[in-house]
Amino acid sequence: MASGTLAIGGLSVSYGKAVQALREVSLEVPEGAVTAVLGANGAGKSTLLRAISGTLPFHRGTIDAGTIALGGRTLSGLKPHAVVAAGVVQVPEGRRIFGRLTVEENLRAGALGVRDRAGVAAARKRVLELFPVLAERAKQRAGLLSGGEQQMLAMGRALMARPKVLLLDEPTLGLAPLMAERIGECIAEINRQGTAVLLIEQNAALALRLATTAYVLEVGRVTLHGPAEELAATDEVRRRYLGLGDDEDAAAEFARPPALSRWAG
Amino acid sequence: MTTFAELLVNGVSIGSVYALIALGFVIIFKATEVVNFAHASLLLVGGFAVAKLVGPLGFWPALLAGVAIAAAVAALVELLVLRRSRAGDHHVLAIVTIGVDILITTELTRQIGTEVLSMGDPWQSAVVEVAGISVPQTRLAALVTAVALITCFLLAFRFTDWGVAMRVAAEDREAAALMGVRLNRVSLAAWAVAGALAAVAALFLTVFPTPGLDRSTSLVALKAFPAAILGGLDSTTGALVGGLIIGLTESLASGYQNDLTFLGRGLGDVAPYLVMIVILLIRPAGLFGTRELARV
Repeated sequence: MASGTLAIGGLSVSYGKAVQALREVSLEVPEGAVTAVLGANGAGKSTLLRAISGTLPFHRGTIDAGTIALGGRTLSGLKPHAVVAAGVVQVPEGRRIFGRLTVEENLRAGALGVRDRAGVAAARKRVLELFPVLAERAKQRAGLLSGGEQQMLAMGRALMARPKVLLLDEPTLGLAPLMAERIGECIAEINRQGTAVLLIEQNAALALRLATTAYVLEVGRVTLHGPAEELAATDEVRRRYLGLGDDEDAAAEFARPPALSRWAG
Repeated sequence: MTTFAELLVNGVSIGSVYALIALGFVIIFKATEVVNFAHASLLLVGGFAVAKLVGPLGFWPALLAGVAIAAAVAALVELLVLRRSRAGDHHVLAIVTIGVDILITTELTRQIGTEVLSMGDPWQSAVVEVAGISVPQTRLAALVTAVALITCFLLAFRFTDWGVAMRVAAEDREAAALMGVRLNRVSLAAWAVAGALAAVAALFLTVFPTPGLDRSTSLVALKAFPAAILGGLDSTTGALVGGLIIGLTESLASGYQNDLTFLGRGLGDVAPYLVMIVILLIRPAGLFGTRELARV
């Protein structure tokens, strides 16, 4: 196994000992690659990221079984700050920037988990090159930024900790298509600079284009996985996530159990 | 006119002491979302420690020790009581702090008994004459100290990493944790700082013209509650403004109570609560508080 691989094996997570959100999920985020996870609402995508980042206790969730490790170092059971220190940083769903603080202070907050001053200065330089708009808005309250700018700030804030692996939870949610494209380009650029990315998206077209490998999560299980290109070509993914049906009515198709659809025709 | 000016100075001075207490209250609320009903007992711990140590150590070392002891006790409450039940919700924890308050206050009241402990402060009952107004030295010392402490605190809150960590934890605990902020440490620091501020406030609540520390001191500290609440529980600015409003109201209401005899005696003690009720009727979240918004 490469030294920087984020490996998840047989992970089961439940909330309040009652609701099982993930069942024996295994996946790998290889060093320096973009890995996508697709799935509908409630499939367990955000749960997966909470488990990795150690924030399940905020939602009364617990890891019942399985392992999470970064290059052989166990992450499961660590507190969130220790996961950040290990090099895995999450950009949460809905961006969750600190609206009452300025843009500058938000970036500063992103560096609170790291000690190395010189590293922080370098990270800030890199973030401002990547997102020049953040430099222009440095003194503004973050709550006044547009949705796309807030997403850039959330990503910039996470990059301040110089992560080895960046976890992105639906970064294009609620953004105009043009802005979603911009964010997509930024993700590609971040990856090109050497950060591995675990990308969770409902925008499957974008995710499959960016990723090398992809996983499909349904009701807490991995139902499909493989190279992104191959997945993009399968009927199932085309119909359910890319909205490219055959001539059949896509809505009617969706309502039917997926396993049966193959026999219908 | 001189009476008015004197009352004004007194009011601002006592108000700044209330602001110190309210500030501690607000810091704990912001960092942990727990309403700390044990705050008055922390104040009593600080005051008691100073009064007991002033004999052997002298005033300034005793004050420092008192501040350190109050901070340590506050930190212990956080470590031993609140942290263990972190999973519980904030309302439960608020009630737990009432229990802590009763325990600490009962023990200290037993220790103090019927005594009135002197703080042994260097100002004693000296009075300063400034531009025709006579003000007790203790009141000026209180004002200067409170302003200096509050300024330091606000600067730290705004510009240091500690301050940024406190503010992000207050705004969104989970997102703060995702940034690598150690919420446990933030919470511990908040309690310790609040305890330290309370100890300083205890000193100025018990020096001249008050006879000294006795078992009713923690009741005086209760006046800082309306200060914190009318300012807005989650606002540091609110704590300061609230403290001043309560201090001024109290000072003016007691100063002019002879002209207000139709309202009965002891108006000064009641007026702060009246002001709080009126302000909350108009602004339910307090003057500077953020209204609680439900997430959709």
